[in-house]
Amino acid sequence: MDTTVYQPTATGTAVRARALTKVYGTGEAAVVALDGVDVDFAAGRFTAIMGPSGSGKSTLMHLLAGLDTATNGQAFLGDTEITALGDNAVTELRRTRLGFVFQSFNLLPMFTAEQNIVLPLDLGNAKVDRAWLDTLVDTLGLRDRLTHRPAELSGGQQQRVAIARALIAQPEVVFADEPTGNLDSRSGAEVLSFLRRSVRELGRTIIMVTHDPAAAAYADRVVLIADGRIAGDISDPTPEAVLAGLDALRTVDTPAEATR
Amino acid sequence: MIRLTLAQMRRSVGRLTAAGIAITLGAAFVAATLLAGNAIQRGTYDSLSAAWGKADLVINADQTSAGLAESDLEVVAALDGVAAVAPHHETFQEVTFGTTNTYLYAVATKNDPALDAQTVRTGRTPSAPGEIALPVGFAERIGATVGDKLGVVVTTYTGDDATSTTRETEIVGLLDDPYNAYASQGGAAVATADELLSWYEDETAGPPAAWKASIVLSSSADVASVRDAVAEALTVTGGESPVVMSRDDYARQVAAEFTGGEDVLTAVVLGFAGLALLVAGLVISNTFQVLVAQRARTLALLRCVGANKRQLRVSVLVEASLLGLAAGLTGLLVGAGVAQATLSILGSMELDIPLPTWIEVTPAVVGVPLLASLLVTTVAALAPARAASRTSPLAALRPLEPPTLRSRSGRVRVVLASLMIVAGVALMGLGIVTTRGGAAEMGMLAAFAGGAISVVGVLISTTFWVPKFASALGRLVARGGPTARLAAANTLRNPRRTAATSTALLIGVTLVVTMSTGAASARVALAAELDSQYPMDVAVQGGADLSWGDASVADRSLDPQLLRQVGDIDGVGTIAPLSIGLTWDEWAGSAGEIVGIDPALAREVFVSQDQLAGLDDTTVLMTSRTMADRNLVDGDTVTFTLLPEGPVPDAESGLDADADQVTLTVRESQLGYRAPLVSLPTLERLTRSTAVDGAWADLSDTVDEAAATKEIQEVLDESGVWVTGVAVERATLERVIDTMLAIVVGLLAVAVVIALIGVTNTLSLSVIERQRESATLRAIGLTKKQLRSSLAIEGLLITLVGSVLGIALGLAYGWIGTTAALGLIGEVRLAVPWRDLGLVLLVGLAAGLGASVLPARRAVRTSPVEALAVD
Repeated sequence: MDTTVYQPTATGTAVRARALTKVYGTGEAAVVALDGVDVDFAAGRFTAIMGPSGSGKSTLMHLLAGLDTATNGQAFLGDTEITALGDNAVTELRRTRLGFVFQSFNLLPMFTAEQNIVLPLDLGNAKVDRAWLDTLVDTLGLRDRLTHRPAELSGGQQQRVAIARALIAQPEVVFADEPTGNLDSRSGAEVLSFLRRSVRELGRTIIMVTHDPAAAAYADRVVLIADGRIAGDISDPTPEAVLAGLDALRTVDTPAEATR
Repeated sequence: MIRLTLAQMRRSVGRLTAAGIAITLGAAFVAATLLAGNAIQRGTYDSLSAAWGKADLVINADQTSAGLAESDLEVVAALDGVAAVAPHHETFQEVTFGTTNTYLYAVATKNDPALDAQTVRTGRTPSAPGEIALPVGFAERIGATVGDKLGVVVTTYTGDDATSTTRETEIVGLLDDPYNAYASQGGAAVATADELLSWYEDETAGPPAAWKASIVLSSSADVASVRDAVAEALTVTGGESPVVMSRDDYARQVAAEFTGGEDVLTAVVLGFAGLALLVAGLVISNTFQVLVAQRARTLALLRCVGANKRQLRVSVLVEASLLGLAAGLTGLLVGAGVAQATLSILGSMELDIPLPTWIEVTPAVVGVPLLASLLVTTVAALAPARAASRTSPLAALRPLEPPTLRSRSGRVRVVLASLMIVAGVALMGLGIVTTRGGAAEMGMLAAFAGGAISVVGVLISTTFWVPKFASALGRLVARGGPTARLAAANTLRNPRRTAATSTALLIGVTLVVTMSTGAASARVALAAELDSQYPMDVAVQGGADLSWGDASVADRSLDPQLLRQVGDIDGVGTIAPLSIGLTWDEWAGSAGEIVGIDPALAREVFVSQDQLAGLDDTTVLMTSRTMADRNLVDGDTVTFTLLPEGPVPDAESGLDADADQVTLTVRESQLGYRAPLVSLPTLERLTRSTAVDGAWADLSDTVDEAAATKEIQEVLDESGVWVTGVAVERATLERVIDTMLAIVVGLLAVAVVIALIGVTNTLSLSVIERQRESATLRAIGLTKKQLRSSLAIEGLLITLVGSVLGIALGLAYGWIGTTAALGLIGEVRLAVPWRDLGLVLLVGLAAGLGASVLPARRAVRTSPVEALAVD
């Protein structure tokens, strides 16, 4: 794998949150999904956000990706304040500087794999970098699947196409929301290792939300979240360490620090 | 982005097609209407054009005072380039053949065969006086053939006198009309000009002028220059000059005058077509709303990946436009096909209407339906497009949330709708008052405007009260058991969707019911009016006036045998004969007619006695107009004197000195419309001799009035007697009203069909949406039958909402409309067309049931397992 062409993007902070707050509903029925969260995500790293259900991890990702509006606080993509942008500007961001992979229903069923991959560029009427496309396709092992429709692809293959799409515009950050949730363990492992490879070999930044400790262990760093607040941080996680961290969340209120 | 739009269209082809059919029907309607209008105009033009044979120019002297004299035509004939000039004489003449008396249109032969429009089938064209050629159809109708003698009734006027004689003519030929030149007159007989002129010569005034003439030019002549030369030669100083036109221009001008009325008709029918398109637009809007809701995840995904709001909105609009164009094109072809088929069928039926063989496709015929379809579809998709653009990207990340239409009630809407309804109702009220006050046109205009405004207001506000009504109805239905409850709940979960579908049906039903109610009320009101004016069922009346020179009137008497025959007809009750005689009318200073009837018999015949009230041996009944002419009021007296024996005197001096004079009190009554009416004893005193000139008859209530009247007419056919009466008028009126109603409802039917398509659409789309829920229900024990009935009840609910509300609105508008339109006549009674209402409800319910059949089959076919699987 020739990595000389693609240098890792600048080190530093890819994504930042400052006092980020999100409240749903009003008055009596108000639910505080995020409560003044401060967190930094390093560039060129694979970070996982973990927490029990209802902890606000998905909400955090939505706000960081500009998919939803914050009630309070700020989110930054590099130097750009996402929370201050209008809809058109944020949409523009999603075409060029952000990528997405979700749990399911990632692809448009009426397009071939290749058309799905270049979709973000298509929407922005931008030219496709053929070399980069070839690299992605070969790295993800999709060469002989390009003309197939999603219905003709297995779950794992679909997710790989989704990852390729997320990377086609060479975005600064890729957000992944439970990318292995729908897959069997072997496909899931494949997808996760591709994600890690795109960080190690292609210099991408990936932020993944997951509830699966085994998946989180693929990351360079795990951010634990509970009740709308950052509850812990694990570097170079192993599945056991992550599991221990999660357990600690469940039993003790105070943030738990665990080292290797 | 366009590729995306096309791909999405391909996926939803089925649902889009169903909606597209609605537009296709509307477009076909528009196209067919335009083509029909074209055809009528072209047919009239062709016919008129054909009537002038191969003439190059036509001289029209209708507006001149003297017409074209022989000398004028000689001048024209002498001009350069003119090969032949022929005056055009035409007449509508009474003819007799055996026992048949009828009327015939005839034209004179022209001196150049190129100017004749008809061709000879048997025999030859007339070449001398006393000869005539008949159109084939007419000859067959009267049973005449070549060699027979046809009598032409000629009336000559000398001064004030008129004498009728019958000229015998020999039929020398039978004519074909290959170009339908005289289709509207029912064929034209042909005779020489001299013969024709002899039919209406006025001895004192000399031979009549020709009012038109046709000119054939020599082959080298230039039409324009000869035309100008002829016009100049015929210029009259001080007055209108004859106008010279090319044959085509003349035909076009006359056709335009004829079809001025056709244009109005076309406009009215186009109004209905527009309505159909409007309803189609509602269906499209609904369909796209559902499609957008269904595509929520795809749209959200696109938003995640970087499509902005504008791109999504444009995508929906492009989809709608493409649908509109495709559906419009299909509709155009369908409409053209229907129009051509109709033309061909009518053409083979040999009707009297001149019709072309092929439809004429003008730019308007192509452009208008296409443009209208495009416009309607695109506008209808505006709201759904906006909804699509508002899709939140988050929807892609929460896959299991079912998409719903967001409910928004705008305050602006409420205010606007309320204002419009109030304004509309006020205007309608104003219209009614104005009509009552006498200004009928202003009143109707105000009422119509008020109706339109209030209807728009009602439509805007449907999103508020229709869902509420649907909820109420649903709650009512829910008492019927578990499947009913399920159906009701499903309808209620999205009351806005139900309201949108029902609104389309509402419009159609409201209009149909309005028309029906109007027609029913009109029938009742007009019948009541007729009854009060003409209280007898049947009136038989002698034809010609009494001959003035003859004092003995017994010759005029109606054969008593005939009256007996009439009396024998089934259903005819009492007959009161009318006797007529001559008496000296003091006011007029001359002899005048007077009619007498037996009051006792008359009372038996009449339904309402109002008109008869004043008749006894001391009174005479006159109409209000006669009284106004004579400056009389009710209660004044008039004097009649018995005429002397022998010829009728010209002046009072001719009366006997001691002749009987009778003074009678005048009473106002419509019955005196023919002549002043007195009782029989009075008549005896005033006249020398009387003749039974007619009768008033009563029909029993149970008999079919139209049939009985027809029988009476048949008995009296040969005797030149008029048969009229309320029964006849009423039957005619009802026929007219029923025909008009049928036509209007037929035109509205298209809109209703489109609305029903919308119902099917909604049901099937909602079934698709609810696949998971249906699967869950099936998994926990809902049988297929229960699922099917649940859907059927849902369909019924939707159509019921639309039908019931439509009926209510239709009744209201129908009553208001009738009151405004007929208010001038006086008392307006409002009728409820129960039969029509029942029909409407039945059709609605059947349609609702029918609409659920296909979606139900689809729902039942899906196995619970595959529907429950996570995508």
